[in-house]
Amino acid sequence: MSLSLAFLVALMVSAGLYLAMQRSLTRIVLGFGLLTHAANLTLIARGASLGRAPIINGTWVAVAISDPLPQAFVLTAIVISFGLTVFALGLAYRALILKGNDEVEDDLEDRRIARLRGERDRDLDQLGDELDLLEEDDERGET
Amino acid sequence: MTYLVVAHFAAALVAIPVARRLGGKAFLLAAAVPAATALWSLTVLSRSASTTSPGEVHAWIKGLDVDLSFQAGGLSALMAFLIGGIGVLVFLYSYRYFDPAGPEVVRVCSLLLAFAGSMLGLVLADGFFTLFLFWEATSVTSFFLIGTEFKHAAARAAATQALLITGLGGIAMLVGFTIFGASTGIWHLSGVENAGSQTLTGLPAVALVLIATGCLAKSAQLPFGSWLPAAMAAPTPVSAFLHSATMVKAGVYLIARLSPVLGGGPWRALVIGSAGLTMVLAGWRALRQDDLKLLLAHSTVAQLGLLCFLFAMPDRRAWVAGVVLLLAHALSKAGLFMGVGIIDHSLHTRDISRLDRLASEMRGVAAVMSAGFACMAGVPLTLAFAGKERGLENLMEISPPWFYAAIGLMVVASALTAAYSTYALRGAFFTSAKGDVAVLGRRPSLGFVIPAGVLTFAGIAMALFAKAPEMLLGSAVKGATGKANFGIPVLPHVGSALVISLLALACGVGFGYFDRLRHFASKAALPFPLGQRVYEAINVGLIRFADRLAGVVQSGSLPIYVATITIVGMGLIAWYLAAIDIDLGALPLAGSVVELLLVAACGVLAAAMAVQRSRVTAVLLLGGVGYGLAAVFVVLGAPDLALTQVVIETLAVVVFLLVVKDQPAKFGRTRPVGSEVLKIAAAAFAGVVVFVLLAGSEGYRADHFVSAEIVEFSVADAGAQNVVNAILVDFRALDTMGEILVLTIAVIGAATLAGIETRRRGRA
Amino acid sequence: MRSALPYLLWIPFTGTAAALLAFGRFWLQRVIAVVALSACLVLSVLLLLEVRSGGILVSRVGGWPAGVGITLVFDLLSALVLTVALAVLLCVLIFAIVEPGTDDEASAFHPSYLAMATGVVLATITGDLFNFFVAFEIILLASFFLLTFTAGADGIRAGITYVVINVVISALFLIAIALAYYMTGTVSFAQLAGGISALPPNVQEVLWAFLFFILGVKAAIFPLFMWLPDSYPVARSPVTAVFAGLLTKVGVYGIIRMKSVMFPAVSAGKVMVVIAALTMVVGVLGAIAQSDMKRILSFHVVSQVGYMIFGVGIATAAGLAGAIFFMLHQIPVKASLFLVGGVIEEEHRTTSLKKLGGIAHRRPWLSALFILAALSLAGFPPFSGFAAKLALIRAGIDGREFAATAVAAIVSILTLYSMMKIWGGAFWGSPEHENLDETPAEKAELPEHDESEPIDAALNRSVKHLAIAAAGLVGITLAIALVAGPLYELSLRAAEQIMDPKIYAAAVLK
Repeated sequence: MSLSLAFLVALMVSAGLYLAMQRSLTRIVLGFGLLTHAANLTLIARGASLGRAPIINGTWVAVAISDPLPQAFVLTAIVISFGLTVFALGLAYRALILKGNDEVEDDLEDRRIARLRGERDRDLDQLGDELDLLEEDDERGET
Repeated sequence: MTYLVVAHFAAALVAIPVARRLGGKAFLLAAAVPAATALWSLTVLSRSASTTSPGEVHAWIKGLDVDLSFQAGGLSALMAFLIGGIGVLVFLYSYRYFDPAGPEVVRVCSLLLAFAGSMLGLVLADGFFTLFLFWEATSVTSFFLIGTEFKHAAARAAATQALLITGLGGIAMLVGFTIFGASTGIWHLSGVENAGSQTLTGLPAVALVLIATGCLAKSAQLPFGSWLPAAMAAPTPVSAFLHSATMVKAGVYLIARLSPVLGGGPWRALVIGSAGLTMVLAGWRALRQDDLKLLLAHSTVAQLGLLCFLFAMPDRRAWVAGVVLLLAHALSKAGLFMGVGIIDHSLHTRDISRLDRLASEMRGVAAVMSAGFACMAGVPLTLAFAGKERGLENLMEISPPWFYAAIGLMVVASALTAAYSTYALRGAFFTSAKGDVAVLGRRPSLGFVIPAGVLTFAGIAMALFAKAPEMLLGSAVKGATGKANFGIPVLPHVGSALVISLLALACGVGFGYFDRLRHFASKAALPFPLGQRVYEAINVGLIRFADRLAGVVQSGSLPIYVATITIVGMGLIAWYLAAIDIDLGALPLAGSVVELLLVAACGVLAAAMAVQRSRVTAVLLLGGVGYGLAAVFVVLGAPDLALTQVVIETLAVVVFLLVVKDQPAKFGRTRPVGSEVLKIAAAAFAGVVVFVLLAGSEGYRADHFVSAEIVEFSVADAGAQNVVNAILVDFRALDTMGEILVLTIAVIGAATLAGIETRRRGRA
Repeated sequence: MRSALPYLLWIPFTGTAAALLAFGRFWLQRVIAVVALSACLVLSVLLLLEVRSGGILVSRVGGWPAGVGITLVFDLLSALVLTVALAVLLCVLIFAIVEPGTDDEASAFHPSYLAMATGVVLATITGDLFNFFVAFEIILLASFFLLTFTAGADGIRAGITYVVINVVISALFLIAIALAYYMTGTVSFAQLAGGISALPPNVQEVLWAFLFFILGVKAAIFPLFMWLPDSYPVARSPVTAVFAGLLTKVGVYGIIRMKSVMFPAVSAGKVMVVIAALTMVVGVLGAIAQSDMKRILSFHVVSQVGYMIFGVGIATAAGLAGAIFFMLHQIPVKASLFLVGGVIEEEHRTTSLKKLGGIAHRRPWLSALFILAALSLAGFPPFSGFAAKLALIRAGIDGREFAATAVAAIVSILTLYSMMKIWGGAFWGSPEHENLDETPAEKAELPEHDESEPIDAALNRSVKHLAIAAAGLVGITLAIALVAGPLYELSLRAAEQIMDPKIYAAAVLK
């Protein structure tokens, strides 16, 4: 594997992950596209050897051809990631229909828990009151 | 024994339909089950004064040393008798207590039976894990019984509190048992007893601390005492049965079993320290109560403290005193609770300040309660008095420094007991009400009072007819001291012990009788926060902390998740990667000039894509990268791949464009999450790690690749010329099958997703 | 019986195809799905009996030797996990059929469900790293669909979280496979074992870290789990049940398999134990902060994964056996809790504890189901959770991991705490009406049927049927408790079998 190929993979991973950290689902799926490209290139480049296409005419010479196994992997991976992409786009389309945009919102419940500490404090006071009911009788002797 | 325990649970199940049909009468039928237990335990007690009955063992999880095993020693049989005997009376009492058509009858009847079975299993258990099983079963049944009135928030909170605290003790005990067993190889109580007295250090000592913690939590000793007063939210029959006579004695029981043999090391210090403090402080607390039931609850905590205290003492004679008191307390306290229940039932209050000279109106109850308090406080001619006398006598023979502390604690505890007993009796039955007077509703029927009377008067009767307690306690005592005949003195010896205990009693009675003195005492603040406040603080603190943690960790924002996963994952890899020597100079810059140029082109396109704000352009750029890669594949000797890549890439771009066409032309800039710099840094970090990984792996190329054989096979056997094809359709056909499955589901899924909405609209 | 091994795969695969052909005919699809999964379960049990004494069944697909072709390997670990997984898949399928609005919502439900089953079978019996990846992708796509096919706007958002994290991880998985292939020249587990042991220890560790990271995201360990509690609760209950019960465990299975077969020499124990302890604690605290039943349960999924990783991290046969046993216990118990949640959701249209209340009074049997499963989850005897927890505590003590053992013990009390929160909120107690701080979206979700309205008969009937289906699953957890002895023996044997990678390699490569 040459430095330039390694660099290209690294660049595509970086760009892909950066896109995956965006709000727009389209950009995220685009990022995924780059990531799979990076993965496929890695598979090919990290094969046993690079050379001629692994099509055999007559006798085969070990050094001459590219490693066929990673190519088979990549063929499988390409189709699978195409499936993933199609599905993710289906999702984006549905989000578009339901919400009018493809922005990925934050989880409401998580935000609520993170935000509404005030509400929770009130709940806790209530809990404290419940527990105090038990304590109340206990303390009455003092008054 | 197994059958007896199982029968309880079977009965608990049968009780559900039966009680549905019969209502309250089901309690009378159910009483037959504890009656059987009582009879069985009497046969064991009468027989086994000389030998312990043989154990029963059933295999369960052999690999973890878990079995179901039972053995009935003297103490176990005594406890079984208490469970059975008091159980019968509690069921009879419940028949009068509950509204016969009430919705809770079915639940309470079934759960009480299940509890009795659990408790019986607990005291008969021999294996550690058998004990633990029933130990937790009593916690769970207690939880449901406390929560009988689950519509009230207080009942729910109390039930949860009891379960959590006893559960915490339980898990400590489980770990303790496991450590103990794993380090000593002993997994049964009988094994511990047979191994004889030993002082443990190291791991087993830790185990003992954990086991003792479990016992103390179950018996509501400091610092776990808060759950028991709270548990008074339960109906009175439940309080009488579980929270005075039986379940809370589980911890005491185990302390009594283990102290004689494992008392050395941390065990004794822990139990005596906790119990000694508890018996004084809880007694103090009881003195401050106006609610009769709560007064009894605090008093129970105090008395349990006294029992643990005595059982953990190094002298066996103190242990004997403990057994006597155990019996005395179970009888008197269950009876007292029942008495309070009757008052509550008839007057709808348990508040001492609202009770007006009840003695004149409820003579029977007054007599029963007086006997009960007398038995508990240890007035002469009661069983408790005899027990305390023995305890004090024994303590006096122990040499200092235990002496002063122990005697002092016992005297203070007895004085407090006498004080709150006097106060409760006098306030409820013999003085006029301070506040608004509670009106007596229906007079309690005789059948309601008798169970309570049987219990409280038994404490006196047993002191007078010493044969009965000797029969009940004989084999337990023999197991501990080696001799069965220990003699319960009806009349005390004249000696320093008698003087001290009478003095304590007198002080206590005086304290309780004169309201002003009591007021003065109860006003004094306790030195440190106790029970309830601590539990509450932990509870609230835990929820606050959990909230805060969840708010930070679970931000709900996908970009933050991706960034976190990237940084953590790549960080983990980088951490290990740092230990490897990497020589970047070993790699060529590029395989060929064409390759270099193509790589440069792809790189530029990919980088442009990351910052592109136009949707269509971004999609086309992705297509560009794809085509560029196809070209790279050709250069790298993979033409099949290049072809597929072009086809798939084209398809993908088309699908992309279909989705994108309805959207705004530019990506929005709405609500960015997290700093852009951080995202870029995370992405760049991942890139660097991947680059180092790829470049660094160069030097670790395998010597042999399976593809060599694949090529050979494909030429020789498969007869294929295109090796890649051969792999796909033959060698790795399973991958291809999976790939087809993925593609099919993806397409159908995407179509369904895109179609559902229109279908719905069509329906509407 | 070796020849029967591939049928384990072909049955659900053929079922998927048949269900696709029966597109639009729900009843036919239902019959196909039930028959396929039942047949697969029976076969799995038969094969389990075959390998129970320690044998390994190996099937070379196409007759090619390992490495050249793909081998299917059925050892005791595969057998145990697969059998429990199929039993749960079948129970949940029946629940989904009974529940209105699940399998009759889309014709693609049954094909996807069967495809997921195919993926689970393949993941547990494949002996090939790349094929394992393919199996994961099958599961993923099927789960993508199942998660989102009934979703509204909120569900789509949750689905996106799940999809995005998983596709990103899939791409990174491929890079890891590429590296492994380059360094060893093969993707067969058995050959990888040899190839990796020839690498310097440092390099082995890098490779392990990469794979552990990837499988860790799938298994939802700390701090890689955040996608799970956001996405799981949104799906239909049977779907959540199968996800929570099964899918994270496939990740755990992957960790166990790869650690033991490929990286026996890597001493990652300490790291794993620390991560496990953090996973347990953060998961359970997250649960405590929630006030929705399904969300509480989802956080528990995370917390319980910590226990399994803890077992693997102890790095003794007993620890591994504990992890395996824990997994077997978790799959049905987690699924059954979600199904009970599903019954509640069916009746009340919500699982928010604030809006629920008094179920113990109205539906005592359903409440009993919940409490049985909840106590099992919290590790109360005599339920399966007790044996599982004890196995791990014992292994932790014997393996001298005292701190983490203490954490495991304390977390079990916190588990109880949050189970009691569900119990107190939904089963006891009464609904808390109209909270002013609620967002409009939440208000819109308020139940249409008020408590005071009479329960309509059809709903009542369907709730009863659902409860019976859920009871089947609770029955499995009780059965596990009953046979805990032999099952632990089997787990221990499975652990010993995989602790010695030579056994695996010898069986596959001979």
